Amino acid sequence: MSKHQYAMVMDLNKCIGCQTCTMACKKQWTDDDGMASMYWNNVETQPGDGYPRRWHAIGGGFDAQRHLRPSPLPPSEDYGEAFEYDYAQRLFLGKGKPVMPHADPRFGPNWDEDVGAVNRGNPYYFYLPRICNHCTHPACLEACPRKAIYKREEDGIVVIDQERCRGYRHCIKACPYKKIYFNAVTGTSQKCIFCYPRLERGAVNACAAQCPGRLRFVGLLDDPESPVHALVLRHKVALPLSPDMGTHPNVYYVPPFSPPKDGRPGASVLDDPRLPLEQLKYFFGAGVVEVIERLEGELKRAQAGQKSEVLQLLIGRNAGVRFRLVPATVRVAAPGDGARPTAPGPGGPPLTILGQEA
Amino acid sequence: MNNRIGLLLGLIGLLTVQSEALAGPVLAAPAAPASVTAKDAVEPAHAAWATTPETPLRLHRSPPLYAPGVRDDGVWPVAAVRLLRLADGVLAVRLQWADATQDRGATAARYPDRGDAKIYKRHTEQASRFADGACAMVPRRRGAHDRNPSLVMGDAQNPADLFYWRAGLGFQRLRAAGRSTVARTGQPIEGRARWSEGRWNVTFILREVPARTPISFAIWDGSKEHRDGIKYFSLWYEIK
Repeated sequence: MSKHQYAMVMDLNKCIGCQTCTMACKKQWTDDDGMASMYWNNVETQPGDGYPRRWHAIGGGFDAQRHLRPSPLPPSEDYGEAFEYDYAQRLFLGKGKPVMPHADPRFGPNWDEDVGAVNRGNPYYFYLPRICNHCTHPACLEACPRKAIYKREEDGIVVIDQERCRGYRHCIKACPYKKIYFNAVTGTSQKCIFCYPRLERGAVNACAAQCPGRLRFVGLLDDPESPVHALVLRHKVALPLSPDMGTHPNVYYVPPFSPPKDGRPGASVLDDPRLPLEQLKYFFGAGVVEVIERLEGELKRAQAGQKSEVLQLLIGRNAGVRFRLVPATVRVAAPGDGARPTAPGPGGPPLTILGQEA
Repeated sequence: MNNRIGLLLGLIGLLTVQSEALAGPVLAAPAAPASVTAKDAVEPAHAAWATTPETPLRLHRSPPLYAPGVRDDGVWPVAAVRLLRLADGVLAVRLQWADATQDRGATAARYPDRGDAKIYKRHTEQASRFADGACAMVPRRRGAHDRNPSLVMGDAQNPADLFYWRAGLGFQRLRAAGRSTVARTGQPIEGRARWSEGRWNVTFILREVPARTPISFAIWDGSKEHRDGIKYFSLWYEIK
């Protein structure tokens, strides 16, 4: 058990599927050799296959007896072939056909939206942004015979030691979210690091910083002042993904609650849900009904002219509301008081200090 | 918990077999003709290999550390080893085993493109595949041993040198002092791997390996998702 736990809350009612988070992450961390299929952050259209294909239906995590329940390794086809464009011909030499993928794509990070054929005839979907869940009981960590994966004591972030990893991929089979990827160039497995080098410098995660929808909230779950503490523990309006996998994920979602289908005034979402409740229970567990009731109650209160602390918070007006980073608190909790070597600083523009020190 | 009991039983079994093996099966390593160099012996098809006896390798499966999730069709490969003693304490090893498929594991490729391919990144391909492999293990302290090192990558008192080959990755020298301590040394080793007609032929050139040094072998089958300790292995032999 770590001394603190960084967590993220994503309000799915605000996600517009623009993939800005995906690109922010890709440019920051996975724009290198061997990483083409690697999306530490991805946004997928649900209900749908997701990325990699059908990650949510193939296994992983723990069974009721706390035994690892490894899934098969998704084959490359379930990630899709990362295609290139003939930039040289078209852009630099001024000839050739219009820029087209070098191969005929058959699958990709949000294929469901690209082909637009999922759920045909049913006017509902939601976007599901996904990063590593930095679980309290990480199945990946338990599956690694090299002990190359560890959960940072000071902030609960789960990382893979690239020196110790030998690319056995037991972790990929064990992860129920399939959020670990194999890099054949380095021969190692790699995953979301919750932007810890940014957090250590007081800058929020790249995906959260760039999100135009302002739907991501970041802070320590155990910090009563943090927005994630408020949404998850105090107001209980955010739920983890696939809680039945037994890993206790630390990324939480405010479930989508579209208005009722026929728009009768005063009707509850639950009387006539646009998004079938079974679909929402599939991803967020049975507790999703209670959360939707709670959110609907907040909505009614606001509509009646009263103040709703939850809705005010979910608006996420500015970075100070959405993020509360406490690098000094976390540093004090580090083993050996910061003796662990820090990663080289990320490239790119200078980092902005956000949130307030505890 | 069942896994742990299984592991315990597996290890007890291993240790028992290992202690029986102390008197040890022996592998003959006849001297090659003086004209044969390491450069010759590294070629698996070199005529010198016909002059040395072949010993069938008795293979074992790793203890059930990783069950479930391991593919195993119950068919174990037929394997054999030959040793050749060259000048200056050099030992040439040739491992031969049946494997119907050549598995090269995940690969990193740069797509050939109509344009200038140099501007493109290398991509990971076949990330769910694993490579065939082989390894010869000798104790760091060479020569006669009253007590063999642990079969599980040596131990703290008796570390092991590993001469390791993986299809697609080539040959490398590793060192270890027990399970999950395997580390790269960065030292190159000589070896060659050839596959034909459903058989791998892999040679290793081991330097400074005098007679009576213990030696053991491992084989990985990529199509069974072998990697790590999921492999076939032999007990310790003593080099004659």
